Amino acid sequence: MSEIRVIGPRGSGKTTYLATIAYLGELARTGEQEHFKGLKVTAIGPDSEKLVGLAKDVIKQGQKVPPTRTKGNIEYHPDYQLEINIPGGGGKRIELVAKDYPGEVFELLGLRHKLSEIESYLEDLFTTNHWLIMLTDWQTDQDTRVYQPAFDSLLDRLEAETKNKSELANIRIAVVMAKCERGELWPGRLEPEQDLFKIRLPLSHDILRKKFPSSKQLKFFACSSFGVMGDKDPRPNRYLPNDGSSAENAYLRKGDCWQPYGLLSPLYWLDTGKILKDVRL
Amino acid sequence: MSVVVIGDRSVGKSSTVLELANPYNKNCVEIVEPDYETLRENYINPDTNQMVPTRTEEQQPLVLNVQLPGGEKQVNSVWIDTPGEMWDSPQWRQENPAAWQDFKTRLNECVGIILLLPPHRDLVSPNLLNVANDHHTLNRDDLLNFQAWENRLGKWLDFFLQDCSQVEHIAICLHKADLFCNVDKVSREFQYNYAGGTQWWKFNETARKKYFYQVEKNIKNYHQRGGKPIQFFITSIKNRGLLELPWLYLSPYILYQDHNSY
Repeated sequence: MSEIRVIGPRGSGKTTYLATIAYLGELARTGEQEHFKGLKVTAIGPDSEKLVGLAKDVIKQGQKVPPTRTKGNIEYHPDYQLEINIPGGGGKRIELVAKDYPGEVFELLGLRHKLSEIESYLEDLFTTNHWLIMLTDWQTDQDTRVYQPAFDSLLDRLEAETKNKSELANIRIAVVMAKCERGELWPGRLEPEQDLFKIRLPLSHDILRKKFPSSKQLKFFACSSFGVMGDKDPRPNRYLPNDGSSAENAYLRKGDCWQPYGLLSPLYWLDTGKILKDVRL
Repeated sequence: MSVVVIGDRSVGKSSTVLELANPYNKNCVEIVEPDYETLRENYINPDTNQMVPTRTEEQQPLVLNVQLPGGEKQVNSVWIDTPGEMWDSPQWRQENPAAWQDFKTRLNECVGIILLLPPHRDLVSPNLLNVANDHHTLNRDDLLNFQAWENRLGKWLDFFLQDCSQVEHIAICLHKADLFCNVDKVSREFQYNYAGGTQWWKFNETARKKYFYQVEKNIKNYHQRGGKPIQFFITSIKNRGLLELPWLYLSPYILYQDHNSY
């Protein structure tokens, strides 16, 4: 069983990502996408079951997942436990326990004078060596203003922590470009490191790759919780209101066309160190 | 887990909750605790058969049965009913600063706010007002004209921005819709499907473009200032389907709030 921490800035879609995964089994059962056939996801425990409800009663009905707020202490945040059976090649099974961090934690990382506010989260983060970092590139200055200082601080702390915790030397970090259903990202999803991160978030890419030159420890992914309208219809399955609200306030456009993309690949790699052949999963 | 129902005096805050408890008109939402009869005893003056105006802030724990795509769920909530004076009388707020501050603090612990707005005078059809005479105590002249209504909405939006920054879900209802449209006909555009397939964003867009287009600038301005998403509705106690919508919208958030932090 892998203990995974999901971190990333506010609005990057972390809770939507986890809720969509929790609901993937149901989507596989009722949807028409061949590549999902046989996929099973079991949500274990009441918190994980609530994720399923959130997907079914909120996301699928065109409502928005509310932001995860800081509770001051990581202990008050639920552990989501999911058992995922992936079909094909004799079958693959992932068992994971994930914790969803409030976006504010990632954003405060770069403000070193405020690190004490997120100390309990940081202590928890360094108890695991499987991290999923979810990013978006809505605002062009995020890479400079938020991400790079956050990674700078995180990697400094990682170096210090590794001296006492040898297991951190084997850390695996999956960096995921979320919401890649957007037209400008969708074509780059097949080579995310080259075509998304190097181009759109170059500072984040460089600082991470410099620290981890090997793809055994750091790998870049692209995913989309909403996906596109269909195999032959690459329009994003998302609705953006034209009421002046932020572009982060997107809604699933059509629940019955819901086909998420690339959600399991980063988890599978974190768990096994291997790559899923079907990048759509 | 609370939902607070706010709105100016006589807009019909208590009567919406009373109607949602009425088991005879049930669609997908029903307040089951307290039951209809108990609520009637509390809110209806038996001599006049009229609603008793809410004089003090009241907290009423509610249990609702709600049909969601994930099945029928029981939702616990606390409905905080407020006297209209709290909202439309600056004097009340000046004379009760501690109560006002305390209320704002508790407001920010709520999952959602339902704001009931009366229609403005220019929207109301005199014919429909005559038809509805039995159920409404309002005269057309008592309603705000458009300009004053727009200003009032602007104040509500400022209130959300300045005083409700912790509340994630805001439902704005243009209430008493039976005074300005054929609610039975309109409700077909806002048909909720408990089996799934509702597109809330579409309901929102339809309501906003059809009934709030004159205040589009105010709404854009609110969002550009970082306001939380607003879901727009039209509601009326004369149409249960429309009346249930804000609660169907908010219920999953009440239900799944523990997965997230509030």
